[in-house]
Parts: sequence; structure tokens; C-alpha cells
Amino acid sequence: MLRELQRGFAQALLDTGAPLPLGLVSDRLSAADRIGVYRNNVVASLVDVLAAAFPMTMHAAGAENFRFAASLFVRAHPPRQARLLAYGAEFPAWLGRFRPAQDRPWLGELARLEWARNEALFAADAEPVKVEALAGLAAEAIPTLRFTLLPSARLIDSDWPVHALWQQAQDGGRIADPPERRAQQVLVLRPGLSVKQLPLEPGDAALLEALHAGETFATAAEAALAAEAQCDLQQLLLGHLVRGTFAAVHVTTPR
Amino acid sequence: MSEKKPLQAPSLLPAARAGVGLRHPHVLHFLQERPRTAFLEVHSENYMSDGGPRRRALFDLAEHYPISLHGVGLSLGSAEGLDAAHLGRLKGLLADYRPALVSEHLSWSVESGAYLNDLLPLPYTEEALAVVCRNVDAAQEALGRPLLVENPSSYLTYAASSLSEPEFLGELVRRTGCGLLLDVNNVYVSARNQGFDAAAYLAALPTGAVGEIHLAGHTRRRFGAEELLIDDHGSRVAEAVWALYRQAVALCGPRPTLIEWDSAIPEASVLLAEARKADVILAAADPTVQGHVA
Repeated sequence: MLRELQRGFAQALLDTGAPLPLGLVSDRLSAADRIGVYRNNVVASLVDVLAAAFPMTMHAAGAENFRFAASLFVRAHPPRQARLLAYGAEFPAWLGRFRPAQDRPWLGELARLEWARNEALFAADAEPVKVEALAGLAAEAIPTLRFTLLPSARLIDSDWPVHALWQQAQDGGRIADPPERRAQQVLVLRPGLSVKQLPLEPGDAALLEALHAGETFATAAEAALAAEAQCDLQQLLLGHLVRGTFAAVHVTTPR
Repeated sequence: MSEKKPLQAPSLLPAARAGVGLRHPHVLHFLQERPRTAFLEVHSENYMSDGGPRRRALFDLAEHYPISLHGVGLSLGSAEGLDAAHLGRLKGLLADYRPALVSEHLSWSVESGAYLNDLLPLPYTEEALAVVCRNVDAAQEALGRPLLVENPSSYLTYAASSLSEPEFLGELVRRTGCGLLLDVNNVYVSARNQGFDAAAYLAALPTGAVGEIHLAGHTRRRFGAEELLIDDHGSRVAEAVWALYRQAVALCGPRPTLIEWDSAIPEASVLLAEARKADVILAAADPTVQGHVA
């Protein structure tokens, strides 16, 4: 019986059209008013969680639009776990399909970048590999190396300039609508306590994608050159070591 | 169900003094200034991540303050039972932070795996009591220590309830050996919303099981000619709640007391000043303290 009561109660909280569960006491106040307090708490608090996880998406969409969309999302996709720091993974894709926002297809992409930032914030900590890790290695050993990215590293490959859009929103500016459409790849990572993001040139993005997939530096370098013929591989590798992109470097023993 | 001996109010704190809820805007202040307060309480769920600055900061603070883990997500009242993954994460937090106090709520928030992010009310029936006892037993078994279970604030009641809330809590303590977290503001809010006598409620509790007390502010919401008190933790503790707190301390003895503040969060100094107010009341009730608190 408690199971049925809770099922009906949960439906009444998420769906304003659902009937009230039986057995709620109406007295000086109606049961509808009384359960309404819980309904407001549930939806408003979860909308607040999304607002905190997607601040730039909210800025870009306008707070009222964002909260309206988020309230629909919350009702349709309530959290599946109580640690709300993990709530919102499905929101970017949902927002991308949200009909009233079809004229702003970049909004879901901006949300995707923000979710990557959120994941990076709460990902496992790891000490980044420093440049010195490669000291003493013979030049011919470099192509055989494999690199593990930080647990916080996320690669975003978007049809929209999401890093630029995020930066505009972050600076408090209005985002031109529609923004200029161009693809942009972004690396999100947290080498210490704060989340960083970096727009990537095509060669750099291809390099990191291949390394992330477990390829050797030689194979990743080929992918990078295929994506961007003139990219400077040594500079890219050095840049990532300085920035702290990698959690580990594995030396493959030469056969 | 077998009867278990009620445990002595489970607390690893050196003394019954007041602490404050740690909120994100205050973290730097506590890290840098380290203001005096008896303990810091956090919402357990906010620390259930693999890593990151939030967990790091709490590790740093745990070196200087006793920590209290206050959960909002275990859903002790869910008929479908506890989420094993959530319980596992809570167990991990206990190992990481070695909290002085661990608490949860007499409420439910999970249905068919969906987490509703509110402390929803239970009917006080034998069936619900059996469900909560089963869940508390499972949690205490997994965590290897007793929980403090908090009385909720509530805005509605069920026709089917056959026990009063103090009776329900009393049976829960008797059957599971759990302790209680007495939220005095919640008693006040529920008493006003439901029309029961708050003093009689306190008198009916198994006061020996109370291991912690919560204090917070509330607000009012009008519904036509009627109103409900809303437990929003967004203001100073109301005078009437301080009066009820004095009664609670007289009944339970001095117990670690927490100032909670969750919305419209002011500067940390405001919370700390509220905690000092509670400290004065606690010290006056503590036979081992002569005179005054610093």
C-alpha cells in the first residue's frame, strides 16, 4: 500500500494533470494546496540545480526561457540518483531537441560544453604528467609513447563555436543570434582545482582524440597531420605537457 | 522484528556545543579564517563525487573541525527499499571523512528509482514503520554505525496515520537502535501547519535518543485566508523556536546543535552569531560548565 501511495504521490508531484493520491487530509487548507507546496519545492529545487550546472546556457537563453525549459525537463526526466552533482547529463541533448528552441540550435551545444565542465569539476583528481617525464627519453622513443588523459579531460566536437559562445556569455555579453556557424573543438580539463577549457585547432583535436583512444603518439600524429597538414606536433605535445593534459605516459618497450 | 537496546545518543563530539551548516559561499572563509565553531555539517550528497575542489576543501576543513554528514537522499521511507549504490557512496564518505555525526530524515524521496529532491511525508502506519525500520536496519548494517533520524517539517497529513510522529519515532528508536536528530524548527512548523501542541510533541519523544538538535528559520505562505509555515532555512531562528529549543534542551539535556541556513544565505558571521546564541543556552544546561562560555 505504501508503494502505491508513493507512486501516486510522485506522479502528482511531476504531472499537474495527475489525480491527487487518496487519503490526504483536507482541512482548513485543501489537500491540493498542501501537496502543492511539495510540488513547487520539487520542481523549483531541481530547476535550481540545472541553473547552477548550466549558468551560461541560462544567460544565453534568458533566465525565464531557461527555467521554463528546465521545468519541463525536470518533470519528464527526474534525477535517477540523489547526488544531484550528477544531474543534468541528458539536458544538453534534450535542449537540442526542444522545439521552442529550434531557432537556436547552438543552445544545446553550449549546454554540452557546460556539462563537460561540470563533469570535469567532479571527476577524479590526478597529478598531471610534467615535461620532465620525457627527459632522458631517446627521440626515437617518442613515437612509441601512449598517453592517458586526465580523468577530467573531455573533448567537445561541435558544429558551433561553443568556446567563443561560452566566452561571450561569461563576459556578460549578448550572444549574436544567430552566431556565425563554424565548427569548433574544445578540450575541457581540470589539471588542479579549477576547470580550464581550450579551443583546439583541428590537428590538435585529432591528436588528442587518437591518444584518448589509446593510440601511440606515432598513430596520433598521423591523424593530426591528416586533419591539419601544417600542424607542429612537437609544439602541441609540449603545450599539453605544460598545461597538464595527461595523467600518465606509457613507454612502450621496443621490441 | 527483534528488539534492540536503544543506544546512547550516538555522538563522537567532545561536548554538546553549537556548529553551523557549511555552505558553498562560506567555504573560503572557514578555510582561511577558521572561525571557532563546534562542528561543521554538510549535505552528504554534495560530496559524492570522484574528486574535485569541493571534496578537497572538506578534507582540509576536517583537519580543523569535527564533521557531521547530514544526508537528504537515502530515502529511509521508500517502500522500494534503499538504493544500494547510494548507500555504498555514503559508506565511502564515512571512510573518507570519519564524521562525528551521521544523520538522515524520516521521509521519502525516491519512487521507482526517480529522486524527487524533497523530504516527502510518510503516513504514520504500522506498514510505514516496518518499511522505515527495515531501511534503517539496512543502512546501519551497511554503515556499521547508528544513524540519527530527523523529524521532518510537513505540510500535509494522511487519513490513514494511526501513530503520532513521536510515537512513530519512539518505535523506530526502540526497534532499530537508531538515534534522533531533533529539528526544533520542524516541530514548530509542523505543529503550526497541522495544529498540534509542540510542547506535548517534545514531551512524547524518547529524549534520551536525541543525539543532535537542528535550528533554522522558516517563512510564511498565504493561501487565501489561511497560511502555512514553510521550512525554507532562509532566515534567523524565530523567537518562538528559540523558546521551544530551551524546552528541548531542558528535556534532552545539552546536545550538539546546528544552525542550518539554505536559502538567502547571509555572511558566515550571521550563522556563527546564531550558533553562539545556542551555545549560551547549551552551557546554561550543562552541569559540567561553570559560569559562562567564551
